[in-house]
Amino acid sequence: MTRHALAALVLLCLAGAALAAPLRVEQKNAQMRGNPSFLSPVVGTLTQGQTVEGLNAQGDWQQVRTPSGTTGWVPRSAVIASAGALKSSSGAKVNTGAQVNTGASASEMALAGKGFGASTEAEFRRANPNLDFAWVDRMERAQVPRSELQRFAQAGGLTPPGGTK
Amino acid sequence: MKSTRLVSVLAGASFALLVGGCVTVPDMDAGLGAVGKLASQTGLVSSSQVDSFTKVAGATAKTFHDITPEQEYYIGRSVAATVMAKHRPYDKAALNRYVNDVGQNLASHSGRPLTRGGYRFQVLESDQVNAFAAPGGLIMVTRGMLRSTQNEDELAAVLAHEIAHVQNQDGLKAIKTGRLNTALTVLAVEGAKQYGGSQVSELTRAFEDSIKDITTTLMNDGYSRGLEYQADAAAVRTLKATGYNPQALVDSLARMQAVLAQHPGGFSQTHPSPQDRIDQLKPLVSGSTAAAAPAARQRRYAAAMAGVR
Repeated sequence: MTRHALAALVLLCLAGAALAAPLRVEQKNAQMRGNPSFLSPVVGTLTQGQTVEGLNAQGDWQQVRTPSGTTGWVPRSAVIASAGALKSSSGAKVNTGAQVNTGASASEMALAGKGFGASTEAEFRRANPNLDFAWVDRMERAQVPRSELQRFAQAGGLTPPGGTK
Repeated sequence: MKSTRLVSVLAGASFALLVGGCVTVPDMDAGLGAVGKLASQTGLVSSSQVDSFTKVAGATAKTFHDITPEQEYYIGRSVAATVMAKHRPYDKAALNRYVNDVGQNLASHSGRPLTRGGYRFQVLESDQVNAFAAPGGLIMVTRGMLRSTQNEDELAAVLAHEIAHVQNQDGLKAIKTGRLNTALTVLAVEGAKQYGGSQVSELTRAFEDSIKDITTTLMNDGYSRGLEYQADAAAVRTLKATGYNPQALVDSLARMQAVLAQHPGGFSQTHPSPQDRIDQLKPLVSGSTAAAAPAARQRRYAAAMAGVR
């Protein structure tokens, strides 16, 4: 088991070094647009957890390329540097050989993979049976589609200064 | 290949340290430093490389920056569940839909338009004048707060202030740093192996304590004045970018001032006085103009609010 975990750790390092600027998609169904604007047509949809290549950045937008080669823009908050590309907080880099120059400490790489997650929430819910997560789930389902938001803005005479963002 | 073998040696040694049990932050530093020393003695790395390895190992003082969007999402869900256990959600579909229309449109023009789970809004039954932003974008606003507004622009101002707390990650900042160090060290250990009983309980406790830090701040103590003023400033930017009149934030604060004089507690307990916030805001708002709100905007506001009065 140790050997497998070890191999995985080493693979993680190598995967990080393979791409120029690997980014991990942090948003459920992040829409990729042709230009850095919410009004630009959707050219593709990214799935959460997917790794994409970071190209240019402009304002709050990040240009990305998917493994299949599609290029488009997503809000910067939709992606984060993937595990292998994490910078250490001190800015120092592990420089033990050409292939490990990822700048992530062992603890940071481990952190990127795990943390407070679904299983922590499950434990928390067991310990706090008085809390009702049904309302939280219901709240989460209240997403307003982008097209409706545009209609809503238009009907209310809401025009951002200088056109759209 | 030499470098690959070196990686294996270092990774293996640090892995052994990680699975060795529950270590504290300094322990781990010392441990990883020792790994470097060992590698140096065996001639695999130079002493400068040992230094840099030790330095990285030392970069373990955790802040809210170390919380990933995924973790922020789960923290936010539990914070929202805790708030809604104390303040019952108000089950009016049309009203909640309207508040989501206003809020999600604003959020898309904010400095942080997307989060892992997205921005969602929910009205609470309470008569208290109050609003709560859970990390990640779950925002709750009381009926009392809605009643204190008089038009859509003022409602937008209230929601924009809460969106700003999410954008600035103020909720996560409320988690005590010591707690985060403990929590994230456990996580680092956890990352390297399957959950063991003691780690699970330690992690759960750290999670529970973090939720408590945030909900206590949201419901009892409030953020610092500085964070509130920053949230107001960000709210002004979001209101302008969306097309609302930023003066509405000043107007809603003035109205709140009047309401709070009759209903102490809640918002007045957790926020600087509205008048202080107005004084800070005035320079940011002065000179800004916005087209008068069309009748349709006021009509839809009045229709939705019929369910609140």
